[in-house]
Amino acid sequence: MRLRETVGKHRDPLTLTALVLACLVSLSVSTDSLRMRPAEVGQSVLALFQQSTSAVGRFFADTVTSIRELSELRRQYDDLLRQVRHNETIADDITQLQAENQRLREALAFQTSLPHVSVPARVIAKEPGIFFSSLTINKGRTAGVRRDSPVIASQDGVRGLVGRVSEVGLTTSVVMPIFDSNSFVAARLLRSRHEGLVSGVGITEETLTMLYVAKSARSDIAVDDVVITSGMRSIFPEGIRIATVDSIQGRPYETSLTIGLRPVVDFSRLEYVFVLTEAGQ
Amino acid sequence: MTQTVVYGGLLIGAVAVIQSTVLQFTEIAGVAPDLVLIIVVFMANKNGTMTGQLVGFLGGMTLDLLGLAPLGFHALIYTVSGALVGITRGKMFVDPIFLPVVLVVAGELLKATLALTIAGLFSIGSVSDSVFAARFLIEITYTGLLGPVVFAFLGLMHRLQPDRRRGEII
Repeated sequence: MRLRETVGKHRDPLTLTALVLACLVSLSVSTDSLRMRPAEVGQSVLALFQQSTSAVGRFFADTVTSIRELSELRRQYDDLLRQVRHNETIADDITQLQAENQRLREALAFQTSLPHVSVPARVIAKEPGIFFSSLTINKGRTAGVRRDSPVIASQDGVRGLVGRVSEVGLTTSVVMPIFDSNSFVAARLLRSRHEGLVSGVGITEETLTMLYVAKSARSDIAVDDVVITSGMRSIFPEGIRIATVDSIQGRPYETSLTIGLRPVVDFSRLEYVFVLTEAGQ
Repeated sequence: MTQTVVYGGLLIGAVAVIQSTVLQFTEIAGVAPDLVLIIVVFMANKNGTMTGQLVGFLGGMTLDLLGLAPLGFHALIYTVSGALVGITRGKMFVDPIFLPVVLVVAGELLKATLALTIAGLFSIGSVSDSVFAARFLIEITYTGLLGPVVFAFLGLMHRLQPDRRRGEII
């Protein structure tokens, strides 16, 4: 009575289950797959749980392992990043050392090729104010530097005039650069051989002026002509490059030309210079 | 006051050396700020005429020794500047930004005027070229903008100084 009530109450699901089971059996028979022994059936059923449990266990184990691996990878990443940065620093240092080595080699070759006795020096300071122009070098009287000694430099394989020693200390000297307005250098145009006087403008280190060039020389002078020291009654030896011609002005009321020049030496990147200790002798 | 002047002299000497060496790496269009002037203006404004002119003299003399300027050129400029700025002591409230800029720019203009006067009197070339050029405007701007920073730093040093009984600043 109670069973009938229960079946009546759950009729639909029970019917469904029966139908499903019938289908399964039918399938098993028709596909010839129902050959397992009860132990195998039990094992198969338990295997489902085993596989499920194993999968869940593996999931948690993998998760823990992944976290550990992530942590390890993070540590390795940090280590590698540090190593890369260290290597980058080393590479930068090597590049700088190579560049400095190249500059020093050039300077050494330059010094040995000079016909004069020279003292190599490094620029260590510049004029602290804006009213004057000067460079301080790290060689003084003890190195043989004397007042009015010419100072030259080599940049990009070209030797150019920097200025002259104006004040000498024991271990340092102050150089008056050619762009100072108090600097005057007896000069000559290399190609046309016309002479003049090169003076600094004082305001900028990128401009010089060549004065007292005969007006008749106008047609012989062209932009980019090279100007060298003439050596005539001057503290500067002959043949040192000073600048190249930038502009030529010949005003009608003046008796000579005024030539604008670009110095050969780039003073903004001047590091090493050579003081000629026996110039003009 | 002696102690203040000695400390000020040492500080300004060190700054003058820095100005001729390290500060060339901070140049704008070939112009470095005039830190020596800022320190002279600060000390003169805080301590008065005597300290200002003495520290100005020491700073200017150091600059003369470091460069090609005739000995006494900068010394005279900074001495007079220190003395004149020293008059302002206690007469104005120095805020953190505006007044340092005003004082430093005024000091720069005073410096240029004195430089032109001295150059005219002693026939020193190149000074007028430098004053009437863009680089002087750059120096005024650069130094003026740096004024509040240096004032703040020197003010901090002053606060850290244990003995301020006489109201003197270093």
